[in-house]
Amino acid sequence: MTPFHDYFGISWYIYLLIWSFIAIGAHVYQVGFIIKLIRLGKDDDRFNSWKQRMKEFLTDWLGQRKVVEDKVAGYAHALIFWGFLMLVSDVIDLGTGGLFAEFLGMIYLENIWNFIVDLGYLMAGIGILAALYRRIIIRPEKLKGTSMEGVLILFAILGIVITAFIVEAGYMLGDESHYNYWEPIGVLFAMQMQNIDVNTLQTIVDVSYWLHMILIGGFLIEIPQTKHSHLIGTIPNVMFQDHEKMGTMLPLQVDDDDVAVKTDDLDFENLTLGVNKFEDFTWRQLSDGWACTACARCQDVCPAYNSGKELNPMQIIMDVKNYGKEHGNLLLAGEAPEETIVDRFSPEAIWACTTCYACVNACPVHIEHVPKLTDTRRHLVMEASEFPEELQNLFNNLERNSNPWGLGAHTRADWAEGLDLKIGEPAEYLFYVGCAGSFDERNKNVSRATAKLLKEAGVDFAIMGEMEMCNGDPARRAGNEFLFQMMAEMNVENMNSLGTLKVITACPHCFHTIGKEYEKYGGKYEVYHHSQVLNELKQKEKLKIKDYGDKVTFHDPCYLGRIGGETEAPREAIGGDLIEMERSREKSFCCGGGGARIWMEEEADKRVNEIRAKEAVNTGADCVAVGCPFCMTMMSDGLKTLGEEQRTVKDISEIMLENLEA
Amino acid sequence: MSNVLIIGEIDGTEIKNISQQVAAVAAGMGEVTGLVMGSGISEAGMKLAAGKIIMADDSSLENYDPVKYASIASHVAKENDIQTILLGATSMGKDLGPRVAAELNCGYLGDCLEASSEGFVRPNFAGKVLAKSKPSGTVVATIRNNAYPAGEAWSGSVENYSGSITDSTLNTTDVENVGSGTVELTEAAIVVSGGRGLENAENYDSMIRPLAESMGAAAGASRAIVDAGWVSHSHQVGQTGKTVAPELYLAIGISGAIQHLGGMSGSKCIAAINKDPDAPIFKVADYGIVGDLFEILPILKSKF
Amino acid sequence: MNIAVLIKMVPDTESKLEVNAGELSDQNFKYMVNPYDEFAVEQAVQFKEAEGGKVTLLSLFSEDNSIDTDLRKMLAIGADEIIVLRQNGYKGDKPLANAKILSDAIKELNVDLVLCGIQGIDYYQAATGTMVAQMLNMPNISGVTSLEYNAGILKAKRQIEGGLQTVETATPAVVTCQKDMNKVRFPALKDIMMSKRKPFENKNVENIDSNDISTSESSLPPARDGGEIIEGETTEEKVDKLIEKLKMEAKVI
Repeated sequence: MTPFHDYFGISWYIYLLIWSFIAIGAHVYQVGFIIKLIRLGKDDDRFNSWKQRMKEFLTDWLGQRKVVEDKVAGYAHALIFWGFLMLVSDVIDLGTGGLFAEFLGMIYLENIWNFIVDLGYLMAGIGILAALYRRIIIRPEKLKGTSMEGVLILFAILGIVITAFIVEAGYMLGDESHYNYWEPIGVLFAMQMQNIDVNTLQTIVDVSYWLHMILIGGFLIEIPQTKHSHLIGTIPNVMFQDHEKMGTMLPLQVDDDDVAVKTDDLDFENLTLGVNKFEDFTWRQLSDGWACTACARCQDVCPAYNSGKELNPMQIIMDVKNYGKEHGNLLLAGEAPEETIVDRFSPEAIWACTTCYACVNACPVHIEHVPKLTDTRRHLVMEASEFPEELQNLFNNLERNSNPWGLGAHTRADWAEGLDLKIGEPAEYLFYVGCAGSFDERNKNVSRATAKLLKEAGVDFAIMGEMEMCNGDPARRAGNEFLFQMMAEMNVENMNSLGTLKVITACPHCFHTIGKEYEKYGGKYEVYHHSQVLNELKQKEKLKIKDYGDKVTFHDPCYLGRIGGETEAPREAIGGDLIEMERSREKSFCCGGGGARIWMEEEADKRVNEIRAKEAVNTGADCVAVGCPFCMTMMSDGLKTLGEEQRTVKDISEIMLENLEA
Repeated sequence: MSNVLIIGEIDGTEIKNISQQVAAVAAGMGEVTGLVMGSGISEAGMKLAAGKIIMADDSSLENYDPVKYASIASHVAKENDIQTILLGATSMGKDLGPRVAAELNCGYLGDCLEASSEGFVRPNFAGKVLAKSKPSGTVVATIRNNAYPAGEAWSGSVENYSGSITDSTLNTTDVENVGSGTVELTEAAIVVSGGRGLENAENYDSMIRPLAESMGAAAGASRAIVDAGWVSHSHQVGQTGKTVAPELYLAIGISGAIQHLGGMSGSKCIAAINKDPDAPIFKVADYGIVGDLFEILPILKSKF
Repeated sequence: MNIAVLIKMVPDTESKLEVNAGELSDQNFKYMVNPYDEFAVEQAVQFKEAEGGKVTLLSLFSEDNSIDTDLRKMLAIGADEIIVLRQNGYKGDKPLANAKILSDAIKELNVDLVLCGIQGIDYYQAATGTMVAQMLNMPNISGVTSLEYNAGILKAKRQIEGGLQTVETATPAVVTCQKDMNKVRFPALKDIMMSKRKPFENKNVENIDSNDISTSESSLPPARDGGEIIEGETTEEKVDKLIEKLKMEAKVI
């Protein structure tokens, strides 16, 4: 028995044609509108490395690599996703009144196809039930207070699945039943339905069929309007994911060889500094809006959000989409809406980001949250000149004394007094000390420990002394790209004048900026975090380090671990049995100091460092090992606020030096 | 011996203490003539410690007016063949001194720490460099408060100013008494700052504020206690608060994290009181006392 | 309203201070705009924005060009033009001579108001502004913490001991600005770039003889090797020693 017959004297396919026309038309129209909006964005040439992109697409999109990192929701989603990929062709069959299956029958594929579709519906059904269980019964914290939309949609998809089984079962029943065992779930349904009288059964099948088609059509109309736009939006998002190294920001202007245009030659007449308008974003930044699945994983890991600040990275992505939707007609007409992107994001949110990249790392569909915030910061600093007052000090200090505190540039090498180091001479390694290691009493000790260990192991290294400047990271993350570039250019010139090839630094921000961002400014160096070099010296037994006595936990700095990709060297360098915090390695939680946040005022009840310090305390460790001067400050402060001053905070090099066997 | 003119200032019915200090300095330099300007000042003006006092008492001189005051002072200087003019380094003295020097086309030395017939010493670079000079010609100098003990009041001969008083477009419409003890943090010569070592807000109010007041200092605070809500953010010294560069920065119960140092490292002299001998503040402090601040502060307070 | 703002280029606060044979070495000085003068520029620009007119920056300095970028920033804040008087052998501690040269230059500008910082953070004489006023035969108000202008009348609040004096005067006048009289804006990058198109004139001026008093000897306060931890039998003794040292050695109280 099939639903393919006349209704009220008119053939079934007339109804279907009309409905398809409406649903598909609405879908295509809306998707077209979105594509036009995205195309307003600036160029970003990601149409390269196709082989790698295909591979990533297969693993990340088809393979759901990052989706399944969240066990319940992830696998539920994967089941629905794979299920739908398997069953989607059934729509063609149902829409053509079974012609598709007939055609497959001619090439002997009907049975296997029937089986795949049946399995697909089953997988989707299981996935939906798991997802409903999570949303209604488990109700994780982040889902509380969200709208019922998600639940309704799940029920709708469940409806699609169940009605499909009923129609399938209907095929098997009728004047005489014959079960098609290639459709095992259909058979199960048919067995339940076989005792229903023929007329009632026909009604059930008809209603199911039309409900099925209405739901699918409705879904097509709904997709572009809600977070389900991710069904389409994730395709370009995953395919054209960022191939730059994580956390590297783009220069103001690049030439044909992708090298930054020198500050003196920048074309300010035609340069937009940062983002304030929708069309200031690149197309790929805009497409993020429609790829977001509202899974809230970024929100879960965001230090700003978790410390109660204005920023919610997921909201930022929603903002991009909603801004485009609300002002779409104006934008496409080339007019400027009164509300700007900065208004929509809110300056408080923009300045709350620590650029820790936890959000980007957590996102299953390769959304790039951080550049949206750093780009709007560029606008606020360089175009609008509206930024937290404290940053003015920072910028002036960097400009005048090339360090964030504005301490005398001529005292930069004072920490090295009595250590008999090479200063400003060529050597195999340049030890790039950084500002904290040069000026902050606490971190000077780290510089001394590192220098002593390197000397002990007989490494040939020099420091730059007064020639060294801040690498520019605080200026860059705070949106003052121009200042950053001036500092980068001068640093590169100085480093090159010493013939520098290899750099050691104890600061992950120097490690990141010099190692990954200076290349575009003419500085190509092998840059090592001191833990990498010291660990290698330890492994080669050039440094003999005994096991330490304290209970130690290691706090991964964002720019070394998650962004820098180095999580093992620091652990091996410390050695022994480390106690790991709840969140560690790539999943480490920021200390709150990155993204120039350490130079901004933070409200006392919204401290990121206290959250992290609590995690450290929870391990029961006596000592928190760090590998970053800012983590050093933030973790020490955090422990102090918690009244846990008896727990020490030490740099990797300090722990190694303490345990050095003479 | 040269002829010295001191310009006295009146505070109500009294000669300001600083003017008496200036008088004492002048006494060692030569023949001293005093000049007092104002309205209804005859009684107070007589107390200036000078052998001869010239009184310019006129209702138009009630409030300080640089145009009028400078013209009178230069007139008097010329009449009396003055080689050295001394004033207190007050808001009036620092304004009037240079104007008089310009009018007399002579040298000017502001805010002197030392002054005698041997020469003058004045601070440069917020006191980080001391500059000595021995003027040979006419000079106008202002002398910093508390640099010298005050001279004794006595009545010498008194003479009324007989010259004319220049017209001026300046008009004082209001003098608002803000009261002492509210020195602006960023402008204060001395800053007394408290930190977490104070243990609670009450101790800040009962120990830091009174000490600051009696030292004529501004009260500052570390971020930790601003966060804790003991004092308002306007008191915060440091990277994300105010940057200060006083002559003396007294850090009490402050450990001295770099974020704090960034806001006060330009101070000429840093003194620290902390119970922890390893506190980083001692690395930058010129003087330190390691000990219990609750024991130290009452004694310190009693000395001012 | 046409306004002249006097700008002194001063060594950076963190400059290394070295004295050789009684003479302060200016070898390694990096110069910046005197912070007090920045308040004057900001005030001038605010008046210009409200009243119209022109803001001319006037600076007297040596023939060293390294200061131009910093000066241009003041144009980026909103001033209209800069005139730098270049003097061979310029010294920042000759207020009388410097005020004479500056006031001669101001005479050519026909201004209603002259603004500058109350003092330079190099020699702290707080003299030039007031001297310029006298030489121009204008009234002056110094150490001003807030300034208003209304129909030819300036209303200023200046700090005096224990209070604030409100003074009014008709223009022209000279006003010297106290720290924090306003919030100096941070120029946007576009403004910095555009400031390159604003007039930047260098004029040579001769050295003139003056009655300024030259420093016979500069010295650094006695260098202490790190901090001195004050020892003593009793707390009282320690406190006494501290006060003694603050008074006699450091001379700060």
